[in-house]
Amino acid sequence: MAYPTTNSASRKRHVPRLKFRDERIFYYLALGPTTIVIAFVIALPIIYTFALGFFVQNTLIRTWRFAGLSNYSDLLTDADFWIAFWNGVVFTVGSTAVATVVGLAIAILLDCNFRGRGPLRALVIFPYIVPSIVVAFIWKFIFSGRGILNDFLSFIGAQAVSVPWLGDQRFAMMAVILISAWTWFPFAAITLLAAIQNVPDNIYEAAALDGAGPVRRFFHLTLPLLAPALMVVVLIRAIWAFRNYDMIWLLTKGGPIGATEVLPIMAFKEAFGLFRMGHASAVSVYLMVFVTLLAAIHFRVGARLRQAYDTS
Amino acid sequence: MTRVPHPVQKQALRRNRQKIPVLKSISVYGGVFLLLLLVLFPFYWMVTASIKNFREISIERTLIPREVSFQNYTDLFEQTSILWHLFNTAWISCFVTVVTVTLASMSAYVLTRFLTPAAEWIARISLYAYMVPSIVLIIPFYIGLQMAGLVNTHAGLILSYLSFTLPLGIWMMRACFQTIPKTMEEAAVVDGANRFEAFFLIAMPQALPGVISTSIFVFILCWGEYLYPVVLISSDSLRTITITLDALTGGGQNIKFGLLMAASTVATVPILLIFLALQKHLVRGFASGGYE
Repeated sequence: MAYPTTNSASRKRHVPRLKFRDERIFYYLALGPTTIVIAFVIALPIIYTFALGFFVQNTLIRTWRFAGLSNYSDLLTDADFWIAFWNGVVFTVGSTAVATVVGLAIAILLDCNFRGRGPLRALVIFPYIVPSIVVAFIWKFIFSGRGILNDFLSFIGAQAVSVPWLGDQRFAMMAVILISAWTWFPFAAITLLAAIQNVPDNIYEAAALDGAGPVRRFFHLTLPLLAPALMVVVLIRAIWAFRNYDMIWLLTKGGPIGATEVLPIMAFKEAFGLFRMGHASAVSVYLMVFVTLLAAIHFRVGARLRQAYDTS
Repeated sequence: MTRVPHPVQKQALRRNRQKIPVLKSISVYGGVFLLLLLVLFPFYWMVTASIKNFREISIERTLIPREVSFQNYTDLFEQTSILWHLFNTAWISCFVTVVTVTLASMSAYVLTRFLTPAAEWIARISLYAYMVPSIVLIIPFYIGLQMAGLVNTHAGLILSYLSFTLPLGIWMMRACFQTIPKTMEEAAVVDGANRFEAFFLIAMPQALPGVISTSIFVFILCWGEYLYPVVLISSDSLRTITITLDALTGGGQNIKFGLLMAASTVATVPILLIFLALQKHLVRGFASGGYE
């Protein structure tokens, strides 16, 4: 950093960078407490969970037995584990896709000129910040057997489909996906709106002059230009959907008959329903491995995008 | 990010706006109507259900309540100590917010100004920590806090909250400090200021908007947190609002939706107030990486 300095002290020492006198004290004071907290509430618990996976442990009768890899290996042949895994994949793909598509449509809408656009942009965030238990209650009410959704369906003449959506094995997953997408679309909408606003208008004007209609402009301009932002939204959303616990638990508790049971719920039931902590730890370690894989992809893609866009 | 259009561009924009065909504006306003319905109807349904009587909720299912009854609310205040639980939630959330923002802004400042290996590692760990499933942490928390005698205390709950608020705080504040140029601090060194003065008097005032958005996000997260209190808190007097709501479902088949909707409304009002007062900061926080 070539900065003209009149400070004789720093010139004498020939330090390439400017330095405050008490750098060290500040550095340790500022970073120390955070490091300690992170070590105690994040690093140690993760290590503990890993270790606990090697034990057969029951907190109710307080028995401990070293079991080697059996918790981890048993799960790989456990049908319930793989059902929960695939349920998680379906939930993740479904809720991410719905939230992203709806979010994209809303981002495009919010980019148009109309009166009241500012307040509406803020209002869109609201479903995202309401406590998940409130969201779950409202939609349970709407989706219940004698709820407003079934009233609406019979009103438009679809009287045959009058089911308790969340309590029906065939529809529970779909309902859970839609409800989760409802709380998560604001994230996609606001992030994609920011990306759309970064696209220079003159590209569209040029395309319009060349005779490209709105549909072609969307597929040949908007989508490719938004691809990086879309990628980030999808990955972050997918990570959060796959590790999500409370929304599904509050809506269906993993039921009916395991139709919406995902890995976090399986781990929770093992730990606090059956009190098999070792088993639960192994499930959550696998969950963490899957989430870490997604996170690694996210970091990779993020780094590559940053490179590609910084150099251009 | 709002771009300021060049005057010539502005003219062109104005011309464009006049040229918007009727068909387009109809579809835009149609979309706006659908969006409003999508966002607001569930809340409308919640609030109206909370003031309907039982007949209207489950048998007649009227769209607009015919008569207003506050029975659900009186039941709610009689059956639960929801006001006390609101107070619990508020002070825990405030406390965690203050601790998080203090620690996060100091360490995030260091992470952007001192590029040491340790600092890099903390940045990496905190981003990763934010993605670690909370179900991974809850089992060690439960066992560890039990050993420390902190299960079923607010202290234990606050510690567990820090596991997700601190990484988020560091991440948001880091993004904030990255946008603040170092030149003013460099000028301060020349004038003989120390690092503490540079941080508190020069960097922090500029980071104030970031501090506000970070605080809002942390507070909202704490307010709606469900997993940690449900596992760690067992006494009624220590409950947070999400557990009050959870306990109302009772596990029985006959869910009293009127009561649930009244409780949901009570739990949403503080969030609504924050939203109304600070929506600008919320939108900005979203843009600066304040995702869940």
